[in-house]
Amino acid sequence: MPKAKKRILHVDDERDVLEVVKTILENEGYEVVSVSSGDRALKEVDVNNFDLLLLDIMMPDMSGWDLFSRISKIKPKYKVIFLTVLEISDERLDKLKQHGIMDYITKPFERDELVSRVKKVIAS
Amino acid sequence: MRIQYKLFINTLVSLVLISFLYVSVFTTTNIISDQEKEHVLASDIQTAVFELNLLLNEYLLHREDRVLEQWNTRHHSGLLLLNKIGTDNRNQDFVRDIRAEYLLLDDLFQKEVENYHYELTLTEEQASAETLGLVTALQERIISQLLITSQSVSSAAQSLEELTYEQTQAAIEQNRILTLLLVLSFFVLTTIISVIVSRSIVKPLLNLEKAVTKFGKGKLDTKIDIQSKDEIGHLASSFNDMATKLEELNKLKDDFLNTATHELKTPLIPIKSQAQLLLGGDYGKLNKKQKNAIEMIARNGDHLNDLVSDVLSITKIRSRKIRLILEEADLGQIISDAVNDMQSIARNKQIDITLSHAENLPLLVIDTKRISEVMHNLLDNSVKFTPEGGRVDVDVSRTQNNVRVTVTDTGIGMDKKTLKKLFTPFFQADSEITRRYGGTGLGLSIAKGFVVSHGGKISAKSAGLGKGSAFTFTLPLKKNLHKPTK
Repeated sequence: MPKAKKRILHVDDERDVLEVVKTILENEGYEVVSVSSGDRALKEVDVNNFDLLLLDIMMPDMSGWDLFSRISKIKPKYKVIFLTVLEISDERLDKLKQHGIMDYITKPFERDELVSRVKKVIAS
Repeated sequence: MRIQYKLFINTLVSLVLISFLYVSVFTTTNIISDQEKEHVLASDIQTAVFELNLLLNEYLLHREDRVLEQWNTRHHSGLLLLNKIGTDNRNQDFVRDIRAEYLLLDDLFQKEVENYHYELTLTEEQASAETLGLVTALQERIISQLLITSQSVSSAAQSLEELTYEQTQAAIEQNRILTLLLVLSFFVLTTIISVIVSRSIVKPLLNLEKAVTKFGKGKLDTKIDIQSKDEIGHLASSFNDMATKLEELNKLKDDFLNTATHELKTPLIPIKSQAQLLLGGDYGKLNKKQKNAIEMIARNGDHLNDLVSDVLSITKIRSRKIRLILEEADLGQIISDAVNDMQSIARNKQIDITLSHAENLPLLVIDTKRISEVMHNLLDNSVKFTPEGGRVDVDVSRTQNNVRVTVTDTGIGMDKKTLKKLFTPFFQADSEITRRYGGTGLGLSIAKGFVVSHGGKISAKSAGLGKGSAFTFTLPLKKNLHKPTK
């Protein structure tokens, strides 16, 4: 019996982005759950377990930061990668790492970059 | 207090002081002129007395009636002078004494005249020896009294003249000292007031100037702390309002930029990713035409992404928002990495890139990512603008305070006009060049921004169109953290 697939929750308000990330990561053998809002993400996290969260930062209803802090209250030990078009300063990243954020990827990303970062963080 | 009022009060005080000075000088001058008049009167009295003496002697000698008349006229005018003199309290008693003696002189003189005439009217029989003797004795007594009195009036008149002269001199001297003191104190007072007023104006102005300079240098959160209620205070609070507005606007601009970047880049994500999935064969094998088409989509997507990133970079540079992540780095390594990255593109155009660098390059404290971007930019430009078969030489050397990197090419070069505008955003020599060579037109201004924010300089040289170009940038050694290892 093959090992259970690693489960990834991807939150982004752009459906096209959700779709390409899902395609790329599923082709790499991950199971990807894509949701388009913070509220849905909270519901998912509430009922399911994930090995990794991929969070967009700029979303209309709830920003990635807010979502992250609310998820942290439910399940504090999540591995998280931020997917963002904004640069995050190293200083801020250091602070975030203390709270479980593992990495961030600036969009638009290279396919290989996304895959290798995800692999690395899940393996850590 | 408003500056207007301060200046007004300053002027007013000066005017009051000047008027006071004028009144004082005027008053003392009046005193002097009174003294002077007194002195003149005293002199005239002295003259009168002197003349009376002469007349007395003349009369005693010649007994002429003419002299008598002259005496009366002269004595009368002398008396008028004596009535006028003595306005100064100090001299009143003295004048009264002289006046008494002066009147006495006349009394005696008239008596003498009377006596003489009486003597003349004596008839022979009346002029007995006895009577004559009496008359003569009386005459002698009167004359001697006359002479004594005349002497004493003379000397009194002289004393009065001397006294008034001294008083005049004393008044002049006093006036001189008083005027000097007044002028001095006026000078000191107005100076003090002017200094206080100008300080109260200039000090807040200097504060204002400092704050505006700081603000001008990009510290938008600068606020001025001026409590004064004058025009400068108003100006300061207007400035603070303006600064707050600008800060808000600046924040708004930053927010807008972030949103715009997000909105512009988001559609690029699926374009790029789908292109990569297609090219990677995830959706099945592509034929050559399809592959070319997808590659073109991917390439232009990348270009659009570069443009958005560059615009964001240049905006950050312009608003001085750039934050360097400084660390010790090996510049030689960064440069040779950049050269290696460029080699494949250069080889496609049969361009030779050579690298020579000095042996003793120290580690520099720099933002590796940014300097690497500068280097890529310069190399990219040189290769782009150098025709096939040309060459690009990179030279790294050390000067006393800097490390200097020069990228020289045998490319299309440029004229002086182009050289001048080279580092302005969105500048490329002409739009034809943009079409032919691609690029965003922002690379060099970004490179300049990065180099300058490191405390370095960047410049370009070219001997003219078709004669190649050379780009040089320097980075200071000063920030070098290199210390002997512990």
